[in-house]
Amino acid sequence: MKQRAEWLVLILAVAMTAYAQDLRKVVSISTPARIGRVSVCGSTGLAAGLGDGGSVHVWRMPSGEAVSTRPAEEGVSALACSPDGKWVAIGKRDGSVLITDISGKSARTLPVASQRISDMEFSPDGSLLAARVEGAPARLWNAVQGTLVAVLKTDFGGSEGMAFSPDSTLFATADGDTAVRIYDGKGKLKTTYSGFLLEPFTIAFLDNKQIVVGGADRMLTILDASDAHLVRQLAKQPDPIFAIAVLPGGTSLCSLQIDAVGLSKFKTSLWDVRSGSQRELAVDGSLLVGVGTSAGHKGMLFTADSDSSVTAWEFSN
Amino acid sequence: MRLSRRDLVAQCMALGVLTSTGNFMPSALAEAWAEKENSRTPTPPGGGLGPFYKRLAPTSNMLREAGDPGMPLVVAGQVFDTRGSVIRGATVEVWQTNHVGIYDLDGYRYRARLTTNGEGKYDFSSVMPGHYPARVCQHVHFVVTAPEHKPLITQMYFATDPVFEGDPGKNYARDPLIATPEVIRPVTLVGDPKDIHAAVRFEPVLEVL
Repeated sequence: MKQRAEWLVLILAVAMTAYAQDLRKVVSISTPARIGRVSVCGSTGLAAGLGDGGSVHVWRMPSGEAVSTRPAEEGVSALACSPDGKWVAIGKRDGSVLITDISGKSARTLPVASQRISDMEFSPDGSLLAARVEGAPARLWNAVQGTLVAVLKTDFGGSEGMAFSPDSTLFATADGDTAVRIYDGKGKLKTTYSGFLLEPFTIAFLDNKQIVVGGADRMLTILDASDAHLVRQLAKQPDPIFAIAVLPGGTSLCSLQIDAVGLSKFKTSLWDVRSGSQRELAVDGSLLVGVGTSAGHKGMLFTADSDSSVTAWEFSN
Repeated sequence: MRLSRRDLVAQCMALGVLTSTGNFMPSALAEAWAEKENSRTPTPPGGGLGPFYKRLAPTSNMLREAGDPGMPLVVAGQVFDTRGSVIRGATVEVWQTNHVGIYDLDGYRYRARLTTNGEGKYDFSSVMPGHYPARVCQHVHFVVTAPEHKPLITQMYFATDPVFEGDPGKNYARDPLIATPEVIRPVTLVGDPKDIHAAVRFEPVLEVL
């Protein structure tokens, strides 16, 4: 399970060539380690990458200039960059989270959990840090004061996906017990969607009012964020949906589907949310390791190649 | 067997009881010993929930249908708490692949939601699961829940799995999701030669909240 949570997010395979009109290659950066995850630091133009040995690399876009590098460190399992580009949270297998400044200098350590940190995300306003913990519900921390805000709850199992609303007032989780739970910024449960029979794997806010969820039911499900009622479902796909990333503006999103039989065949689609239409992106072997916003407020993708380079792409429209 | 006070103290020391009681009266020691002896270790998680849990599974314990290919399998056990007491009315949700390693996402094949009886017992009939391509070992998923107990999410594995080469104690780590060989269970072949099936016991132990 833990591998799923990791690689679902980390191994989205995308083809750039088929969408030359939509995606522009910004820069390719040679890296000393294979990059498994890139966290985009808001729209500051900075991005932080997690190397496979636990190294942390911060780059400035669009040049790809290295801002800082933390050497490889055993036990590093997750990374998130603050939206103001000042802080990097480094999650570890022992459940702790190290906060460093953007230069890599350690600032404080948060005792977030006793289990492995699977994933982290700052709220868009930078006030909260959410952490997914292996086999356990997500938890929210005050990113400024370094204090625990809430340990969320499930009936059983952990949180498989999580997301903040663009205005940072809502936080949503896709949980292993098949529920989607929506909380306020203090971790107080506001509403729950219990309509899934199979597990939801991934969740994102389209805007402050709607949430999109993908999972083992092979559909993209759109929920109202205020009361979790079902708004609509987009066309059923052949395979489960393991990752979604909403592009700036909230009208387009990328999805990753992986075959349920072998978890080895990948399909990446670009969706128009309003019409429900989708276009497949042909696979070229690159792995999508991050999604975010450029300094010009356009959607960005980061892909990692087997030759230890990471490439930044920008949507041109 | 009647124990002398000295025997009792020795047994209690061996069981660690004396660290938890300050009362050296034989009756108290006997009670503490019995309690300690009845305690059970929580079943360790054996690989997490997995991606294909499905809610509202059927309550029938017959997961196998007539003519299903694969080696018939019967899994049975009791659900305990860490004090050694059986848990009646616990919910045992199980799901697995078919004999060739494919999960049913559209329906409920090889899925069940069972309830333990008055003796904390459950059982179900299925087929030996195949090797799911994304996993190393054959396995059956379990979610066991009961009021006032911590939910247990685990997976049960088979000692006969060729991956273990006959020595699961040594080779369990070949599946990176298996943290301990305790979740690998012996398999017994039972029944008439014309109607043979594999039998496995699996006894989940839940922590009391």
